[in-house]
Amino acid sequence: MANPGALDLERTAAAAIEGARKRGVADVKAIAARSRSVSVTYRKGRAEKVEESSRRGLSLYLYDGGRYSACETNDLREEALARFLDNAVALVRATTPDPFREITDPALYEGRRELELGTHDPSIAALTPAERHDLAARAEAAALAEAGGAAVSAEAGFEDEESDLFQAHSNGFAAGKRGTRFGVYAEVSLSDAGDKRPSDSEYASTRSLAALPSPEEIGRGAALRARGKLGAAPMETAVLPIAVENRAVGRLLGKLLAALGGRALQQEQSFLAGALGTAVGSPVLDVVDDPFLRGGGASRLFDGEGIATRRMPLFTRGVLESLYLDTYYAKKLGRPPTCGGSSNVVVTPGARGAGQLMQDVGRGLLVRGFVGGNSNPTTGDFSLGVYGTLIENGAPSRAVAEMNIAGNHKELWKRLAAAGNDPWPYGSLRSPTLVFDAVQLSGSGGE
Amino acid sequence: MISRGYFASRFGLDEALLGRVVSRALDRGAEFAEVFAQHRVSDAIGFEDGQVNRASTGVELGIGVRALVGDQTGYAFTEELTEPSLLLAAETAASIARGPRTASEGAIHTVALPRLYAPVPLWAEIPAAEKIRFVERVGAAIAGADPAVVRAGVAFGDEDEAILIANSDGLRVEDTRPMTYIYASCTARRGDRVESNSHSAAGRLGVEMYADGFLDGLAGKAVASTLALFDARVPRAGEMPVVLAPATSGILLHEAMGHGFEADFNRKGTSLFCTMLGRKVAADFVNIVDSALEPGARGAIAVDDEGTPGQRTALVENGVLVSYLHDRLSAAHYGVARTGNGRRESFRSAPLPRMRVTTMENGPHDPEEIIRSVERGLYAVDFANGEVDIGGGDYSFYVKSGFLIEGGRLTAPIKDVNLIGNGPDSLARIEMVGNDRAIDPGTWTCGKDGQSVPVGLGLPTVKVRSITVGGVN
Repeated sequence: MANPGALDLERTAAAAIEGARKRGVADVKAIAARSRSVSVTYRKGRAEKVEESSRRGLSLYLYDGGRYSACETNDLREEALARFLDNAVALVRATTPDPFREITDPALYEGRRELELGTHDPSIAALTPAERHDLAARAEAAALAEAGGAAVSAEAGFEDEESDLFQAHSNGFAAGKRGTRFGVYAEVSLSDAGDKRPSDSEYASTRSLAALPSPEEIGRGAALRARGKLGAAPMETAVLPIAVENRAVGRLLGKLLAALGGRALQQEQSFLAGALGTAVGSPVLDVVDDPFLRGGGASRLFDGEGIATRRMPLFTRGVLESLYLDTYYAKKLGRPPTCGGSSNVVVTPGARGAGQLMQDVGRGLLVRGFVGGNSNPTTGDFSLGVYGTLIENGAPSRAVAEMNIAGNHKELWKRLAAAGNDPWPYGSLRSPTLVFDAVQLSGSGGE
Repeated sequence: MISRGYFASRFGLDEALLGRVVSRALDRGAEFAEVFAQHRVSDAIGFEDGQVNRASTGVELGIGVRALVGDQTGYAFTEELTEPSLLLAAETAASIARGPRTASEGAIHTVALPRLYAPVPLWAEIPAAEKIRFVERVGAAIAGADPAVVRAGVAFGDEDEAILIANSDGLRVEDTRPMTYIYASCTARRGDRVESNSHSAAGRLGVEMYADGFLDGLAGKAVASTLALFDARVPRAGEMPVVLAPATSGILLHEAMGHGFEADFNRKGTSLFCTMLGRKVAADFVNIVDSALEPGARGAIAVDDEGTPGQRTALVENGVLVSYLHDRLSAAHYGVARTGNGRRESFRSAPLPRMRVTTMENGPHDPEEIIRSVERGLYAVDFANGEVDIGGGDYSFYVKSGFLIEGGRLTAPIKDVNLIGNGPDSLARIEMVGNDRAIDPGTWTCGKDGQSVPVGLGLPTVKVRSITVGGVN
């Protein structure tokens, strides 16, 4: 437990830039960071594991006449740092010049907003070990109480983290950011027919302690979700509508967003090449990248290249409006850079609740989670294991497992029929429940 | 490769200091205390659009301190190797216990380790220019292989890792582990269609892995597996017999059975295998092994991350489940010997029971005969990834490429399909096992509780009577 306060981030970054420039490197970017976290896990009414960590590190990016290297270390002893700089400079000199590789154009630093993002909660400093134990213990107790006699195991935990970063570039950028995170989770296993022990979990992660739901709500939620898996069996192989629960949407939407990345597009490994300005989804698909979301998991005023962030519409009524382009791939593609990756991704909610959406579905599958599977980033073909609840006569009926959905992203998002009014508030992806028409499900039975 | 004194000479972590830290971690009444030190230096080089376009290096150094009381764990780490920082970490870990000191420390001793990896020199001594040559050769070979190829990508990495374990039993052990990987990707265009695929190889090896013939072969496989996709289709959905080709199909074992055999899940009662020890779970000719002793394999370890020497653990013998995979905590819980499966991603985490190289042993059947026995089914060749639900046993794994089997013959190539099933069900449905066991050399990495560790896997040709194929109709 090195005292994290002992490391002056701004001075560490400045000294690294100075050291690299002394060794003859033209342009340098340095990020010094540290974090401290504590996690407490409870099982059987007592602490199962208590972990404390203090991390620190220096990342150094060298740009030398088109040559480029990225190096990082957490060995910050003076003589080790000198050796690290020697190695980093030797490495950059060994690479070949690439005309597209340059440090960020200072014009992109301009226009940085001065907003309070609500990403740091000072109350973390007052959190005591007893309070942390209490939060974890209450989540576990609530999970066990709700699960009753069917419980074979319950586990719950609380964790908190405080992080601090300073980023400096040799051509004028310098800024820091601080953040806190608080998380509570519970996981419950129940006994079921045969040897099966279905389990499920509930969790929430927030930037402020006050925004965290009660540990009782999380514990109870885990038990209810696990109970929803009792007696699970496949359903028939068929083409049916599916509703994807709000917190599960990321697995699908993440693959759509990956196709917007500069590297994928430039390397011709994106199924959305050439799709900018065209309809990729149905008019229901409305998605915004919002770096200014107050208390958002990925809120930020600048990105990893120092680019001042902006609110960026990704899909408006199904039409693709923006790409994620860092300076390197933007230059290769001959386009203006935007930013290298997503911040908070917000899917515009609809007017109806999840219950009403299921009524509209009539018969189909409520997807509550994914088990493995993959998407081919180049072609858009996907095949994903799913579990959830059978929807019959517009209402949930029984648990479903060992099922698969398959198709192509280019068709799937055109079949997006409705978005619910229930965005999941505990992650950097804020999506409501989404309903898709006519999805290929495979389960029991032949072709 | 056991370089005694690595941490003492480089970082001042001598016996006297280790003793003080271990002792401090026992002060509050812990039954066991342990120091895990790690120094990892890694390099990576990337190739894109005809040239090396990035190079990186990383240094990680730190010490984790663990204190145990029964099933309870206290854990803390420091990235600063000064005595005050180390003692503070020990005190933090010790606070899992709330009483006076009870444990006494054992006499200082070490253990003999198997020799599984011995590259000379270390990766740190190989010049960057030599590594760049490997990458450029593969990149140029892919780019020049076929007019349809539009992009060639290569990623290379290497690592020297040194670890030290010192615990309150008196054990002191050090190991240095090399690691390297190379990943070759190819994108090709025919008309409007674009396909990409990749091929990788990895191991606890040194530069000897990178002979010219190996590099050219890797490029050839990346190109061939990409071009083959133009003729492949997503198969129809439904349940059917599946024949798993040797090597890469070992992911079935890893996902469907291996995770369920990890003893922490069984100790907590959350694995559906927790009541099956001693039970017949598969046909007589099914034998499943998890071993640290595959020289040069990515999952090979001479010693696990809590000091148990590398060994071979039989999990299923003649169809009977005979052992779980244990770390120190679970072995104590079950009152059995540790199996050397206590592994961790780094000094930042406490160890967990994890797989090493998980394979099925050879069976009695001829691979040709296995394919001939299927009237209509799927032959799965190449896999991307997989996942399992430990309690329900449901697994899923993604087939990048394979073939339909029609009338006992391989026919149309297929791609991009997920296989889903249930671990114990599939194990019981293994009807034939071939005599062509192979270990896949790819860059397999296993994730659990947020910790990633390198693993190996393998299989002979295996026929499963029925698995759900997640295709499209």
